[in-house]
Amino acid sequence: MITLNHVEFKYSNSGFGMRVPSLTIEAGSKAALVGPSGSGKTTLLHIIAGIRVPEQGEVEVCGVDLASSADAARRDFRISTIGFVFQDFELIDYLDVNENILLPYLINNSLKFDSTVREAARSLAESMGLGNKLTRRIDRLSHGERQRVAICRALLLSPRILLADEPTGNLDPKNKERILRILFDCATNANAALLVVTHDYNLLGGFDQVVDCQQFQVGD
Amino acid sequence: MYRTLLLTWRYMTFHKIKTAILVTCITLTVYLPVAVHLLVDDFQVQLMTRAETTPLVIGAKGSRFDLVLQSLYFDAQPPESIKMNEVSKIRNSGFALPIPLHVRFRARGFPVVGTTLEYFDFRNLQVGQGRPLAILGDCILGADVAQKLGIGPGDYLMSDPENVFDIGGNYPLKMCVTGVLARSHSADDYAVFVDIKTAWIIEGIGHGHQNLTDSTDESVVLKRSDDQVVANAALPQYTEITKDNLASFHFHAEPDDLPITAVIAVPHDEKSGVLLEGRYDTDKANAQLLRPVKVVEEMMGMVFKVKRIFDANVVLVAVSTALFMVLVILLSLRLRRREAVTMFHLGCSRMTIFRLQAAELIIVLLVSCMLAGLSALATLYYAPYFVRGLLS
Repeated sequence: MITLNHVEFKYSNSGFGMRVPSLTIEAGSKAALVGPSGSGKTTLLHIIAGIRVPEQGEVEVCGVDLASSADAARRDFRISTIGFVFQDFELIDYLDVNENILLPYLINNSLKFDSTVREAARSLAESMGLGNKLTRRIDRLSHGERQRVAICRALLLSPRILLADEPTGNLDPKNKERILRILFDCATNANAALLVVTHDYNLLGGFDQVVDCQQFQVGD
Repeated sequence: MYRTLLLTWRYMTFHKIKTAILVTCITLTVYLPVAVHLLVDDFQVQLMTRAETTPLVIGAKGSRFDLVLQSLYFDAQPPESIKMNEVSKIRNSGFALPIPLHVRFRARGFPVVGTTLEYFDFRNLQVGQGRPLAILGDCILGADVAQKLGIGPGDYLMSDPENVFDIGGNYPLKMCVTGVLARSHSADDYAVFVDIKTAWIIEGIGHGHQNLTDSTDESVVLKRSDDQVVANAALPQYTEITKDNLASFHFHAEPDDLPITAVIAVPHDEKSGVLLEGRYDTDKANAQLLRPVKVVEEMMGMVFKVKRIFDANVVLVAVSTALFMVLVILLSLRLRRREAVTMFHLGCSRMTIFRLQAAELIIVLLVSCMLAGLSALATLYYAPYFVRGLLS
């Protein structure tokens, strides 16, 4: 499902680069991207999501060749295929819980935005225990509730690949396991592949595949 | 469009203070020059209309502006007095109809205009309620005076004392309100009109008291002879003119020597006006004759000079507001950078992100212009009242 071959990527404004000779992640599998800070975990996630384009090599995700796709095509690909949970959740402070979950629809005019979508967002929020907080502002939510909002937002479009960039960062061990369990359950229920960036080697037990990004690092 | 507006609205309402500051700055920048323009325009129209309907004004030599403003709007410092014989001279010349004005006193803050009945015909003033002036001590009110004081025909109005601490000064006169003028939308709405003789009585030049010839009260008599009785200061003067004491009112001066502040001269034709002007255009003349239109034009020239300075200042304010807006927008873009990155990662196009941020600016500009427009409309509506208030 995710195949990278002879991928080379370099940041123009720093010495950092990465070279991925070959990487395959099967459909529906759960993979962890590990490595020290600056080893390129997030960059690899961005390449898989079509946010960044490598200078060389092939990136094929769900049958789409991202390396040779245009901006608009990669954007459409992200909307239709990828669900993203960011490190700090990246929720929009001026929107309430419901609107944050609906954000992918609010910022993409190509998506049909109707009562079905609203109902889907509501039931997703209810399934995450946020049913009674739909109109609450983000700054009035607990850390755990924000995480669940971010996960709801990522799952709303029923993605085939769920990407999570350090979703357990800055959490205590109990909450780390809880969040990971939620992500695992959501990915399993949605039949989506799950790629999680993490520093925490204690959490790797549940993953089907562990990718050490340090091996891809080139330069500083 | 709906989604862009929803997101923009949410952003703007979340950042209320920032939005309010931006809207206020732009509204004021747009509104202030418009308001000044409207007020100056209205000021000019009102001044010119009144000036154009007042052909000539004659008064004491001195400030042209004071004389014209006082004669037309009953505002400004009263000029030096001229003698009533100026009215006789003009009438005898056969060039114009003279209308005397004596505007030196106030009643509850409003100017008391001593004049003749010809003034009402000249200004085309109609009595809205009650009846015209008939006897000494009567007064007729401008529409705004009646409205503000809440009085009408049958009520009384006291003239203001010149100096409340001067017990030897003129006594206030209790005047009987006989009528209220129909609204004329001019300075006449803010004035109290009395017969010119009543104005002289307020000034203390004329007065009424008991007949000392028949009086047995010697405490008020200073000197008595066969043909003359001289009263002392203890003699009480009437402060109200009634039918009973009307006959006792008299003046201790020749009518031609009594003071007036100005004469409005209405020439019979253009030539008469020029000839009359010629009579006053000599060093020997003890009064000056002015064409109010010319004086007002001169005054407006100065007003426009000040307006040009204000306009230049407005340009500077607009530039600083624009720079302030650019700064706010740049800071806003920086603050929203992370949000934009998130949206981009979620599949949002750069154009949509630009549209979201542009929508905020467009809405702020539209709301500001709308507020400025509404304020300008309100100014347009209230400008005549405001300007009349300034001139009265």
